Amino acid sequence: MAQSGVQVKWRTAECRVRGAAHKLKDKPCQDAVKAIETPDGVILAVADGHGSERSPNSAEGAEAAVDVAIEQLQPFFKNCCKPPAKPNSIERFTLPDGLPRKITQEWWSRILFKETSGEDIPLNEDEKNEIFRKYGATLLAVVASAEYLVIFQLGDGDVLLVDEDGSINRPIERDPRLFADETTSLCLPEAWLSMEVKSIPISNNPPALILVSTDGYSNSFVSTEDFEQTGSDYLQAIRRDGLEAVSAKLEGWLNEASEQGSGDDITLGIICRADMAKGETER
Amino acid sequence: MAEDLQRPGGAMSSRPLHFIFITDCSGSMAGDKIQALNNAIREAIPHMREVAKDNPNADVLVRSVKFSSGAGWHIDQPTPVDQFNWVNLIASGVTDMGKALSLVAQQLHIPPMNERALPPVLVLISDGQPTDDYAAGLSALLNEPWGKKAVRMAIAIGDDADRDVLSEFIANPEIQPLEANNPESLVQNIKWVSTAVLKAASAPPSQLTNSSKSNNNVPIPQLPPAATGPAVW
Repeated sequence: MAQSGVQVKWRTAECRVRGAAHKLKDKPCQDAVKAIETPDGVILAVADGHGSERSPNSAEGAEAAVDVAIEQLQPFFKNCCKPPAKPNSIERFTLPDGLPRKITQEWWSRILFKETSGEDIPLNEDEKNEIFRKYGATLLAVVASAEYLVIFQLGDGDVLLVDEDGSINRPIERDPRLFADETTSLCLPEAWLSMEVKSIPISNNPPALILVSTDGYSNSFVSTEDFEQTGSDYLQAIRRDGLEAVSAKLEGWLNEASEQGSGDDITLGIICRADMAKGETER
Repeated sequence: MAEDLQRPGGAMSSRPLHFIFITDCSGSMAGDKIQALNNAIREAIPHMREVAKDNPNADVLVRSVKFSSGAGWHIDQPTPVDQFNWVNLIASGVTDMGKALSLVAQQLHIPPMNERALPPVLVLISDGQPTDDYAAGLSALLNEPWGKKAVRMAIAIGDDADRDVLSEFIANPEIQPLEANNPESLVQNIKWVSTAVLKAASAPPSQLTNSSKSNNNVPIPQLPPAATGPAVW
């Protein structure tokens, strides 16, 4: 457990690799990842472009998704984590109204701007939806401050919270619609209604590690248990060798996972409590 | 030291892709039809292996169920395509298609299936009309999540095959049963489902929820050209 009265600090590392099957078929990587570290906390976003024939620009859609998420969530720290009325009061945290909708609509605006080169071309809803579909992507994002985690998930992929003892929690329940390579997406009408948001006060019991990954990673393991074992293994490695050492290994590990497993693009974002990582507390 | 770091996580493997032949062995298949079917599947196997080799992230597992008077697994173990050998079918009895579909439904239940599998490919081959309650078997199949999401293809052998039933099995208004009216067209159609469809199912891209009329997520490739040659069945 984090020491009482000591403010939690977070560090991030991230990596994405082009899928083994994508390399064989000369397809680009359609995942995207972006992370920022600020004095108030960190934000990490991961997106997975659909890659189907009807979504030929989904790599760009995924890039736009992580850009939008970071931009929309950045004001979060100042706007949402207000000074506490009482120590440890849950009232200090408020999630802005309509944030999932705002993220979705900003992504739509950006895609339309890209498609129309910024010109004001009248488009009906069907035409707009067809454009959005060309760029279809999922989005997972995590905001981690000293007091709260806020997790956003639209579409497939995994968010694992890893406790100090290596045990795993999934903060967002599995959406039963996400089966057999089907996914919800930013490109769907009213996509925000499918965006799961979970806010978790962490002052007394912050997780040691948060792993955010596209579905190519979990699909590479024989079982859910084999995948979830990554949680305790990453924690152990980060404790022993530090985040930088682990980060340097990520590309090789993710390539190995894609080659031996799903063949899909794989992206992994790591948010690590600084006091859990060798060498990070001195930074 | 970082050099000693082990890859995180447990065992890895490519995603299983179950391919199941559902074959009619009723008495009306006796003679050259069953012989042609045995030959056609045997001929398709090397082509399936080639497709599997080109898609190493799909673990293609093949098996077969047969139906006549009752139904049973002809090859019951999901067999890696590299080790899969066809065993000749013998025809006799009636056409208990529903029982065969029920057997397949049981195997598509989770477990023994798992959620990370690729959509299974089911190929129903028949020359006649079901003699049992096929609708119950089909309902059991389509009530399984993997039954619903499976790629379901059908081959109608000869004029007497019940195309309405085969279309119900496919459950996709855009796809009709393939027609096999002679041994050459049967070979062509079995080769097509065993290669083009298998290839499409081996690496399906993500699809949007509820976006497909057929409920399955694999884009079906262009159908093979219509059979040529005289209709002998």
